[in-house]
Amino acid sequence: MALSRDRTDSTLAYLEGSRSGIRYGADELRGTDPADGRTLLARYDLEAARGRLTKEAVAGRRGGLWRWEELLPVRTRAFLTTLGEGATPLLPPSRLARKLAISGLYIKAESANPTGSFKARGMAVAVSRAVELGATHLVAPSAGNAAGALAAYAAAAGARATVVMPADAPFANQVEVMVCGARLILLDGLISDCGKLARLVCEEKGAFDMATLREPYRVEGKKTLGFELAEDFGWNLPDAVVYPTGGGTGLIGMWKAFDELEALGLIGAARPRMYAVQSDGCAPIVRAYQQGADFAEPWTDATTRGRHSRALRPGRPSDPRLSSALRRGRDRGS
Amino acid sequence: MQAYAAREGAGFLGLESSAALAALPLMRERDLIDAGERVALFDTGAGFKSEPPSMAPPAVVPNDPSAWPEIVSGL
Repeated sequence: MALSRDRTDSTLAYLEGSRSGIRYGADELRGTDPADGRTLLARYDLEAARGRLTKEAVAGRRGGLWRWEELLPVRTRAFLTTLGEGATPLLPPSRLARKLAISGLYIKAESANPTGSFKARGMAVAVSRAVELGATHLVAPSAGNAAGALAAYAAAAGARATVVMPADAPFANQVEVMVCGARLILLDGLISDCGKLARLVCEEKGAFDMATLREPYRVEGKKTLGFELAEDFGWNLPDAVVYPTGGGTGLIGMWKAFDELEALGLIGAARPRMYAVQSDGCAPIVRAYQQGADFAEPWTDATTRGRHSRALRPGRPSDPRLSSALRRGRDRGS
Repeated sequence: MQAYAAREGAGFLGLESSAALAALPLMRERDLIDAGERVALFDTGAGFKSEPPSMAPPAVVPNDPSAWPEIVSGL
């Protein structure tokens, strides 16, 4: 990657409504699909990317998740905001694997990201792109790691940030927001209430909403989880992915990544079985799967908090693509 | 579960990740995962950022060399 060039090799082509299928230009700041309020997905010129994004090319690059720049949305190199995110290790916990009788168990250590979680991936890309498109004030609700990630990347990009958190959010996450210079609003309510207040901030202050699935590009950052998984496993995807899930964007991103890699001829048609794991007290994705719903609805009476998590309920294999979230897994009877 | 994972050499997993780890035995029981499969478990966050688990704090040792042999012998 020649860092001196002004333009990246992004092949971003357009945005597409995840349900409506309507296409929109990708070079203006957009939130959700005007047609139905659903998420917009970034689409790329995969033919153009095919010749450039090869296994050999990626292997020879440095720069964490930005090694995949052909399939990321930032067009101008000056707007690539990085704190060293991505390229996290895939660890073989051999003793644990023996105890669990799963000989091929690996842990993808996302805690190695600069803000201590996979949320750094989504925010690195989304903040970079939002600022590139002119946003100056970014807002998000968060009950945890997204808060610090937004604050850290907004600071790095020179943008203002406001985070709305439930008052009982972990103190470490609150501190991270304040240390990074973002405005922190603690709300006596649930994360869904925080989302409402965050949207009011956007309306009143002209800020840009960075909430999960309310803008197109956090998924693009999380997509690099899937790229790295393919590379880590020698371009032969694992049999199963077990993923602790909040809103599901990590799973959506990975699924999108696999489709794009297949289109580039870098992997075959086989896909891992994707398992979303959520606690009984707050399990919107598992409930959506069990009900056969296309979209997960907010969980209104969350009872699970921190170390008081109750018994777990692993979701069955699912297809987390947004437009048919969870449905294909059920249809294939797995 | 965080402590179990850490003591088995998996590092200080995030709270939600240790919850996912706790699901693995159940998934094996239900034949959702086979013993020989390649499985990627995501540790999506850092254990040190969540509320610490409930643990008794260690006792403070007196700065008295005459008391140390007894402490060392108890290790």
